[in-house]
Amino acid sequence: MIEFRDVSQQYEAKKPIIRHLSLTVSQGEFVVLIGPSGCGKTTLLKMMNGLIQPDSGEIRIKGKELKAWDPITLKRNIGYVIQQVGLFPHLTIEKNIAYALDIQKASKTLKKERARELIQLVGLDEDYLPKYPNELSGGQKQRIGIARALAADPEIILMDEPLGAVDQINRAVLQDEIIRIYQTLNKTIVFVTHDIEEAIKLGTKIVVMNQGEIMEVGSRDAIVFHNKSHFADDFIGNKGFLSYLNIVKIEQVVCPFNGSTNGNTAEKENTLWVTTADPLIVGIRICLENGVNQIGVRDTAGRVVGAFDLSCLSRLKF
Amino acid sequence: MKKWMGLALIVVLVFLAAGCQTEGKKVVIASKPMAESYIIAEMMGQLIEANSDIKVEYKMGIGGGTSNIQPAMETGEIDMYPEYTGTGWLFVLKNELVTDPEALYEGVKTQYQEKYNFVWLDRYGFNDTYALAMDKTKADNLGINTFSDLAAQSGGLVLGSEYDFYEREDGYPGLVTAYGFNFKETKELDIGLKYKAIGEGQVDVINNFSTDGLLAEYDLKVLKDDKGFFPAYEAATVIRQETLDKYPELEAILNQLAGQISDEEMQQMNYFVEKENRDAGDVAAEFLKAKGLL
Amino acid sequence: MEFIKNLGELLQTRSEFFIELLLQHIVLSLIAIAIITVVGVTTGILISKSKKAASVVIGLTNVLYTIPSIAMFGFFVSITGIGNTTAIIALVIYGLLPVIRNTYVGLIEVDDQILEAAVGMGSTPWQLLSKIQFPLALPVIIAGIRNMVVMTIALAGIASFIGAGGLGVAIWRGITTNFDEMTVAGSLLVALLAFVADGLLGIVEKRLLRRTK
Repeated sequence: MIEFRDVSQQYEAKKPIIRHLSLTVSQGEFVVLIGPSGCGKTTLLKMMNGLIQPDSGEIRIKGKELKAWDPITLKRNIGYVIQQVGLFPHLTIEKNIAYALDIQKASKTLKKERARELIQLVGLDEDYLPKYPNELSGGQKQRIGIARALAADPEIILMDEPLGAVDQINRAVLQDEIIRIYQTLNKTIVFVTHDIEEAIKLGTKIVVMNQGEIMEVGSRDAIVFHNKSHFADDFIGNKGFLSYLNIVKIEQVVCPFNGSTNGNTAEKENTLWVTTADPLIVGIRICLENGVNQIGVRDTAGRVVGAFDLSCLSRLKF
Repeated sequence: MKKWMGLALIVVLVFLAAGCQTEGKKVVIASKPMAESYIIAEMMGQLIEANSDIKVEYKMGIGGGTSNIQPAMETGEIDMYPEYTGTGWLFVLKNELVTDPEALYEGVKTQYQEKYNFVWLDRYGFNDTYALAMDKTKADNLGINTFSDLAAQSGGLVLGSEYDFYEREDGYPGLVTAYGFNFKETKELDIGLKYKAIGEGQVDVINNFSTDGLLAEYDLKVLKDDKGFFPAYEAATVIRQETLDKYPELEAILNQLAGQISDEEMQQMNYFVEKENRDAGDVAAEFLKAKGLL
Repeated sequence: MEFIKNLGELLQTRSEFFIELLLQHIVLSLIAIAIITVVGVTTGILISKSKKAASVVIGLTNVLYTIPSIAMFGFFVSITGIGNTTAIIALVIYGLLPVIRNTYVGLIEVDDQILEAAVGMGSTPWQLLSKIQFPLALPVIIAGIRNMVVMTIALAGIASFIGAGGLGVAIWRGITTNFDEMTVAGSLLVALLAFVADGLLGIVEKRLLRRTK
């Protein structure tokens, strides 16, 4: 989908913002760009839809060189969500959502339908369509921001710290929404954040950057457990690990009950239970709270599937 | 979008309305910004409209008087206006002073024809010349009766006058040379505000004209021009030759005013307009009717 | 009291005269206002692209604005003669400043983030201007126009000084013939006209303000 080859960018700055960077984003990935302030993650993002031009190197979007794209067409093919949302205050929510279609001269009916479709997709009631942005809360505004980015059904969505201005509670809710939307629509998403927990929670592929270079690229597991880069290791740190425990579900680490041959013996008395849908951290906590090493695991329908065992965890390969 | 269309529509309509001048016979009469001028211009216009099918457009009260009317006459924006022989001779033609009124009239008539192709029609009959006036009581107390008397005491007095007067050779500058005036202060006022100024004591002396309507109102004494400095300012219509060529009947129509207005009659009409605030058009009509011209 | 009685009488007895002057005044003002609006807003839009151009243009109109109006009128008389044309030219020159400035300021003060979102979504420069920037700048622009309208109506009162029509004819007539009631009547009507125009535009302004936050 998106390819960067040896790309550099400097602006008029004394130090380069992006240095000889190479990266590939494949279709369907949820790529998170994370790093400290000034690492160039936003610049990198903005090069993907042509808002910023590279000084050298090659960028390809959907196989075509960046230079070969008509700048307006390129932007219309890519969804763009920014931190301050930037909803148009003089337009109704409906018109805001349909804007990308409006500038491509879509029909009235298409715009109306799409607005209705998308507002529901982002979890808001149709009643909001005739309202104006100043009537919405921060979290609601960003939902609309996302809906707006989806209007023209682009294959790629770029998000630049979209939840940075949302309060803590809403942020968690919106993160879940974004995951849900991603899983429903199967888009390619590139997401910039400085929040490590958010990165681990959302990304299928995580890119750790520092001073214009990529320190590490990998899946959630790889980034948390098998970091080759010292910097990335430090950066992700314990926070990243904690986030990992909050995200990964128990169903991924179910092992047979202790002392059984076939793996599913009858339950002992006083066995504690968790479900496959619970995150790892719940299992660990129950073990620690109760001073046990092993608890039972049921699936969401209630059937026994195995055990959650602290000693088992260390044997598992992440 | 709608708002802009509405606005554009208004613009178009306005232009149409403004541009919709009725074609047809038309003359433009201008006047200076003073009562006397308004009255005479009205007389001219009323006579024209009563005796022909020419429409009259008035451009009354042109600020700056002759200095702005003359260029407009030259470009043809104005067809005619009432003017004074002295003004034409000294201010427009910039000639040296000539004291004989007849010579002045003939001279101005000839030169206007030569230089501008303008025609001076017959004079109306009154002489609205410059005068200097003071509050009667103050003048009596100081024993001032003539210009020379005034010059002697000018050091302690304030003069108020309009721009034209200070600029014209036949105005203040000439007076200073002839009489040696040396006023404590000279204030520049608009023609229309001079009487108020002297009435309120803001100035001691004003220049005024011998046919001023407000002379009686403010109880002023007109001082004697003992050295005969001021030339004659006899009034007549100045009209473009081209306009006369276009509408030859105008000459006869306008010359009906020849010799019809005396100094006193003019002063009386000025009084009606300036003091009694009657409409200049009404006063003009009344006069014309009384003279059997309307 | 006597004065007010005379004033009332004057307005009544010469109502036709005043109505004609009022209409002339409206037409004169409207023509100037229309030209100013079109030229001013367009210029404001054009200079919003370049800070340099903006400072030059606004600086220039600023200077013109400080020239006393009578001087301006008088100056143009020597070029374009007396009458309505000259008056309109002078009125336009004065009216340009508030409109250009407000258009410019209104456009550049639109929130950066909003512009970034619109650009990021693939708006053409024209779409950005017409769909986003201009509508959002409109309240400020209207405020500038409102200012200009009142000023133009008032200034048109001086136009008769150089032979143009309008209510200034009454004002000037009153001054030059010592007819106070006439002067006041003319002035009063100018003020009334300005007041009404301002009120109408105020309603327009409010309606636009309601939606933009």
